[in-house]
Amino acid sequence: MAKHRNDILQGTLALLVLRTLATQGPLHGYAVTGAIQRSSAELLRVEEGSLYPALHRMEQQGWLKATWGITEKNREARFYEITRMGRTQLARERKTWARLTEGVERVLRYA
Amino acid sequence: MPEPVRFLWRSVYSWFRRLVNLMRPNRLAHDIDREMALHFAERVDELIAGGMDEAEARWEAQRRFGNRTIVRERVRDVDILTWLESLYADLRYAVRALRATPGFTMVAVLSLGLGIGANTGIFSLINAVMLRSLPVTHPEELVRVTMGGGRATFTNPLWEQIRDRQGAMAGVLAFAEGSFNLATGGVVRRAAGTLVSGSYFNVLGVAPVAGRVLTSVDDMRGCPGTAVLSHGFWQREYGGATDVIGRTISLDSHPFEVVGVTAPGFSGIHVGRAAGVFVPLCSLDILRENRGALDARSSWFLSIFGRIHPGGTLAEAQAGLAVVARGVYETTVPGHWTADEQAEYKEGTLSAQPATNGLSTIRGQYQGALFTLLMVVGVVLLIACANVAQLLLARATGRQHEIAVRLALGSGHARLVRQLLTESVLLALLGAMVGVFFARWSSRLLVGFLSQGGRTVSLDLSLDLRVLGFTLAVATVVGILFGLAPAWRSTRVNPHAAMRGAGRGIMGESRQRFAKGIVVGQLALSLVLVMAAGLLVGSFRRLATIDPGFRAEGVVVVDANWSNLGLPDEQHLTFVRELLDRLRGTPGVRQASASVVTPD
Repeated sequence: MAKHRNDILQGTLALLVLRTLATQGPLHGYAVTGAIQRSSAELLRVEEGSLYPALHRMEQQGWLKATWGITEKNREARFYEITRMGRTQLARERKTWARLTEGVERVLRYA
Repeated sequence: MPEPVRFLWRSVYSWFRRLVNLMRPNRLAHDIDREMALHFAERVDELIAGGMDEAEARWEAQRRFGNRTIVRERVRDVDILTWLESLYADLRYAVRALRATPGFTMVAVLSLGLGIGANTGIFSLINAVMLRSLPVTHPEELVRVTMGGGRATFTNPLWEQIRDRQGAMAGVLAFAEGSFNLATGGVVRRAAGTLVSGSYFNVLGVAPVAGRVLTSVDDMRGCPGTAVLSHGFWQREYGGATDVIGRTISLDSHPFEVVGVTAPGFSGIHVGRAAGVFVPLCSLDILRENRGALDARSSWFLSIFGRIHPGGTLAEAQAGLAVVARGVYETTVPGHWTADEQAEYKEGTLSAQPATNGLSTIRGQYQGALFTLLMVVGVVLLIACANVAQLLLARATGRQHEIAVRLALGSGHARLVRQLLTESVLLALLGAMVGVFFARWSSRLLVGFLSQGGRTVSLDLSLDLRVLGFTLAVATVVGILFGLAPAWRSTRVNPHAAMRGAGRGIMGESRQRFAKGIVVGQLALSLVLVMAAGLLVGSFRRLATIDPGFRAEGVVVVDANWSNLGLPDEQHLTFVRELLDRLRGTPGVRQASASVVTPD
């Protein structure tokens, strides 16, 4: 299977998930995929196989809190919610991202 | 909650959760499956809404999600303690491998058990004699009061002066060791006894298990006979009877009232000597029938210990003693000494030295011997290691095929070495378990050796954390020591060549060299050991057959005690003469003589 061009850059998945959960409230894994796709106007697509290990890792790190709940279609789902530590982490990752893009931009412009 | 604290709390919580998940793997797997099932169902719904038929939608959802098993494994690895899981897997595998070869396992465990046990046995002796602190409160505060010239025995008048004058220490105590005759007639029955100052138990902080301990009220001139039993004595003589308090015990034919029993573990300040019965110092007047023993200014028999103030220093105690020394000596000058001797006496000094581990004569006597023994048994352990390493190597040759298959399937060298090391450390730990039992027996045997010659050595050989820690450390080091080389060698195989050999147990040339190296090392160690053992036996024999300067064959020592006859002082000598005459008349006796101090 050829790699998608719009696959998410390594390391930015956490940033996108944190931001999505910070603005949209508790979501389950599938909804997170959809939300990221919609917000990015279909430019980004979350690789589904990496999403769940990432969600669980972020939960272990205390950035997310997970609870079992029921969806509108009456299905069991694990809902993820951002914690206070998660918000701190989001701020940190935003800064890193801003520096990274600025750096790359400068190289493209002046190098 | 500040962030660092929250982070720490989070780490502990996460660690705990991953541990719990490891305990219930099925529950975890089920949860992950439930979560992924929802994702899958939602995707299928969306695809159908977009116009696909159901079968097509399922196939497409599957394709987009990728390999479900791999995803499940990856999520699982996040949610459990992976290192613990692999350790557990290694252990299970090691147990299975060891059970598959019971003969090898038994031989290895037994030889390691003997080696580790011998080391633990000697170490527990060293621990009891040298390392263990006295079982009293804050043993590090204890100091021993000394005189100039390395002497440390005092007269009772000196003790009374020191007790009343010193102020630099939180408390001082004095004691003297001796023995009592428990029998009221007939055959003498000796038991260890300790004369103690009234402050003894209070300063040491030793509590009674029954009744009470002695206090300064018990230690007044003209006191009635009171006695406190040590726990060991109480168990031996009274079987731990609870109604012992208030009973009368006969010590050198004088009645003493038992007022209490000390807590188990405490056996006086003198390590290696049973405390037996404690009586107050003032009982000396009862035992010696008021012959002024307590006022004798040249009868040196007391050891003095002190406890420095909490937070105080040894230097403070030393300075405090130096200040009072002059007054102490000047008021206790022995009147019957010559003027020169008296002048020298007044120049006496007082000092203090640390006494955390109490007082021990066997410590000085056997320190060197014990460390030598530890070294010898260390070599024995090394030989045992070499033995087991050989066995492991032979076994590894048999397992070459298995290892080659695992290497071919993609196992890392490091992972395989770790697996084989787990096996050898497990062997060593099993050996340690056998060793602990062996150590209990061997250390008792050694104490038996030390006790020969009329002296009983009593030591607390119970396993404490230090001994167990030593055993565990030895076992782990040993396990790695004998396991590392064979593990390293046996994973350096070329899978292709080994597979062609298909488990026929081929032995490479370099491995043969390696095995020969072990044999050479083993022989060298054994030779050293045999020589050392020979020397050891030689010096032991010389010690046992030491020339006392007289012919010791056929000499029998009779311990006579006639204090219960109540003879006046001037009749003692006549009594001894008569006793000797009667003994000489006994059939089988050729000669008889009397002495006060008898060489043993």
